[in-house]
Amino acid sequence: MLKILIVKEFLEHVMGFRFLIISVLCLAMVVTGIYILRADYLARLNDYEANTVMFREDTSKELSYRHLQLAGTFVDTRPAATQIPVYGLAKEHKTVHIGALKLPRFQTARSVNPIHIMFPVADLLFVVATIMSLLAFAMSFDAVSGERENGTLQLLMSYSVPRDLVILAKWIGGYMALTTPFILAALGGAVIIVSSSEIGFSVQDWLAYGLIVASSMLFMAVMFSIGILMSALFRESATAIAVLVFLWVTGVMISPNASPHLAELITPVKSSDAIENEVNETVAIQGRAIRKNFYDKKDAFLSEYKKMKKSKAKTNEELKLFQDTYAQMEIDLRLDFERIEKEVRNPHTKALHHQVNVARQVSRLSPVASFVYVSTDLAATGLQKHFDHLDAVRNYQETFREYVDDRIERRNKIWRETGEDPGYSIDNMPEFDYRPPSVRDRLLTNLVDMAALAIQAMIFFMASFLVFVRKDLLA
Amino acid sequence: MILQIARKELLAHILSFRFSVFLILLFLLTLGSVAVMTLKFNDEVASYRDGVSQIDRALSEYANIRDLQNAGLTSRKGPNRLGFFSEGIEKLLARPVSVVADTGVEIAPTFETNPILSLFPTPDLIYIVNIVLSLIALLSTYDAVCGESERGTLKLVLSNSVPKYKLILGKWLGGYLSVILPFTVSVLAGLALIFALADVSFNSNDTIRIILLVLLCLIYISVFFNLGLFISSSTRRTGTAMMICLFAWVFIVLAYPNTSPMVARLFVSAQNPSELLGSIRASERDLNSEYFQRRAELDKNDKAKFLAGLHDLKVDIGQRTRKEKYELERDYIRQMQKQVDVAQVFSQVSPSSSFVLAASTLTRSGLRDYERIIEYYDDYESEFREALKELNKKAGKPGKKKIQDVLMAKETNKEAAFDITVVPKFDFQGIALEEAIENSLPGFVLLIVFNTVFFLGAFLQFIRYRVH
Repeated sequence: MLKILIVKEFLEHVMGFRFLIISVLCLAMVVTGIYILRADYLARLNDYEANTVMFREDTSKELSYRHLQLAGTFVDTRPAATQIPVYGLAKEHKTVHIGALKLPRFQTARSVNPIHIMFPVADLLFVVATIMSLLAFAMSFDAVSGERENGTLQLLMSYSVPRDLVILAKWIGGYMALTTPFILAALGGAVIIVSSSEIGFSVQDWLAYGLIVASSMLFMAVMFSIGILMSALFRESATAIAVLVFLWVTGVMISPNASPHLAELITPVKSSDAIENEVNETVAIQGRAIRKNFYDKKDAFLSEYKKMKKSKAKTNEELKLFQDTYAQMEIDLRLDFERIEKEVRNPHTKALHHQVNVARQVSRLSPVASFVYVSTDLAATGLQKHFDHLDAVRNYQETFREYVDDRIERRNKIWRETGEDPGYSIDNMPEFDYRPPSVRDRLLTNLVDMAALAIQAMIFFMASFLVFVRKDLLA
Repeated sequence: MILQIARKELLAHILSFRFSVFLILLFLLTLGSVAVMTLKFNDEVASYRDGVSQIDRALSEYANIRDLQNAGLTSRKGPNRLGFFSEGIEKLLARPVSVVADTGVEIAPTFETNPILSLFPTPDLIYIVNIVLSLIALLSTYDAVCGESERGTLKLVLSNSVPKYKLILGKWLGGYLSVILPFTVSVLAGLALIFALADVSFNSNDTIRIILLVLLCLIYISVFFNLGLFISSSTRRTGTAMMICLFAWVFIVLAYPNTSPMVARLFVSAQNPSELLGSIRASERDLNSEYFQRRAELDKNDKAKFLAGLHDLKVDIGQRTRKEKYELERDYIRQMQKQVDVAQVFSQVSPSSSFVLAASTLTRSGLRDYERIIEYYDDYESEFREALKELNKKAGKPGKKKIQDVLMAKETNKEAAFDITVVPKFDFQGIALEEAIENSLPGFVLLIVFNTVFFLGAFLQFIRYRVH
């Protein structure tokens, strides 16, 4: 019985005008989006590879380890192939400057394409979160109320069909009709990805892709259940759709955008401009004493150096030692400044991290925001990767600093012992090869949100079930 | 007669349940958005002022002109007074820049930024009009004709001596007023909130821009109103009209504007920013090694001659580095501009894109402003160099002042090492009002064309509408 009802519902949808539109929109947008972002990804990958070679070559041309210590190096981050379906924060592409004596800095070019700031990128995430959510409502608003208006519900009830089966079949059939075009579109996207061999989607990437599709299905289930609930609650389908559009506007278009601002009210953090001001202020004030101290030492040192030169009693080695001490003084000065900067920045970093977590909590109220966080995290273009990448950059700075210090020490040792300069080579310099968290980690971090989506879908379905079963349908 | 019909329509709308929902939604959203943007603006103003005073202090702490030359300055443009209404590409325009004599103007590196803000668009007024009001406009007209036909009231009205064209004009006028009245009131309330909370005053230039912006919003809303009327008079059943309206809206407001700039990229290729960075660094490297090579070739026996030669060499290499960088960047910008132009033309097929582009131009955060700021970077750089030249001329030979003395002098508030008023301020003003109007004109014209087409369509369909 259930099967017959489901097939009937499904076929009714598939024959309809709405299904046609949904299929065309969904297929066209997902496929174009993936096709274009695929090209974007390949360009990025190409850039990344070229840059990595270039930065290393640049670094290999420094004159000595001391120069390397001062100049530092640049690193780029490998783009994630999963940015093709979910672009997320990938638009914020930055080259990082890593210095042995300076905190890592993110560099941006003067000129970037401004049009992408004006209009968001139409990736799979955008299609699901905004377009499919509205279409889910459009598909479900008259599931119950429409049949009641037509009088067919009354007819159906006069047969020996249990009510619970009717509503269940309505849900399953409608949901299948809604998700069929989406699954087809996702498969089309997968074909595009497979068809270009340069992309090299790994097993992990496919897993992530599958999980993104799965979370999209969960999200659509939530939206579809809300639609069915409203349809069962309201007598007229016109009222149901008006209420649903209202819910959609506030829930999809407004509340996710408002959640970071709400979090800002709960846990205020300083804006990045204000932080820069604070850093400048602190560095200026504390730096004054440090710089004065440094120049005093430098003057004393230089006069001693002159005396020593005049006395003619110098050996080459002593002079060298002097020079080294002087170089160390300059390095200490820079390290002092780095330390001050770090002390100012660290609490802000923590506060920002905390605020982002609060924003995530707040936005759990809206399934859309949850879905955006989940899918961007799964694609490694979201908040999790953002903070993981920051940590990796900081760790790499430490590694780089240790490498440079070690090299300098080793070189000086050889120089002192043999009088020969061993030369400069960065063959053993550790590389910055950032890999995002594994799919397992991504899934584990987002399990709560995914479960929340599933629970919301269940709750809304149960509610519509209860309303439908208990309601006086014939009045 | 038309006025009578309009009045009846207006009243019918205002008394409906739908209207009160719209009204509440509109008010909450407008005021909420303005409140958020105002708080942001006040924050920006405060940190901008701090930043400016810090720059002055940093300047006065430089021991000599060479410090200024080497360490340079980091500054940025002031907050946008019209940013309450539309953020546009303000994020891009407001990036802090640092200017150093050697490398010129560059975007200052960043540290931590709030990633969430990049995940979701800012809910400014333009966003609300673009998304919410267009939907409201459609939903308040989708049943204007077919709904009356379904209920049978259309037959009744037409059986009286009311000409059809008067009826549709009256419907248009009354319905449109019922959408824009609450909108205008909530915008006025938003403005009042801005004056109450924000630390801002608008000059006549700003006022003209705001008035034009509101006008643009009104024309934009009317496009969707007419579209709704058109769909309503082309269908028999409200259910069908509603579905067509929703799908049309999804396509016009969501699907097309966000896909078209991406599609435009397929037709016009351009370098990626990191490619540009790569070629600039490669050219710097080449010139740098040329510098060392030529320095090694200099005659070191005559010290005076060597120093003079070294100076010439430095100047030559410096100039060439700058020139090559400038040319590479010009090239890149030219390519990118072409891509942006194509994307603009492409996307303006949708009234939503025309609206967003014109609105951001009017609020000093449009694509043309970005073009201008890139030119301004170069102007600022040459101003900075001029100032350095002038300061060096004034100072004559560098004095034998000890750096510690200067630092001590700062502690006791002595005067600066050089005249800091000569150093140029980074003061980007965006494009002038005339140019902004000129640049938003295509948007206005296109929206009016859309209005005309949809209204004519609605008019003709209604004249031909067969009442059963």
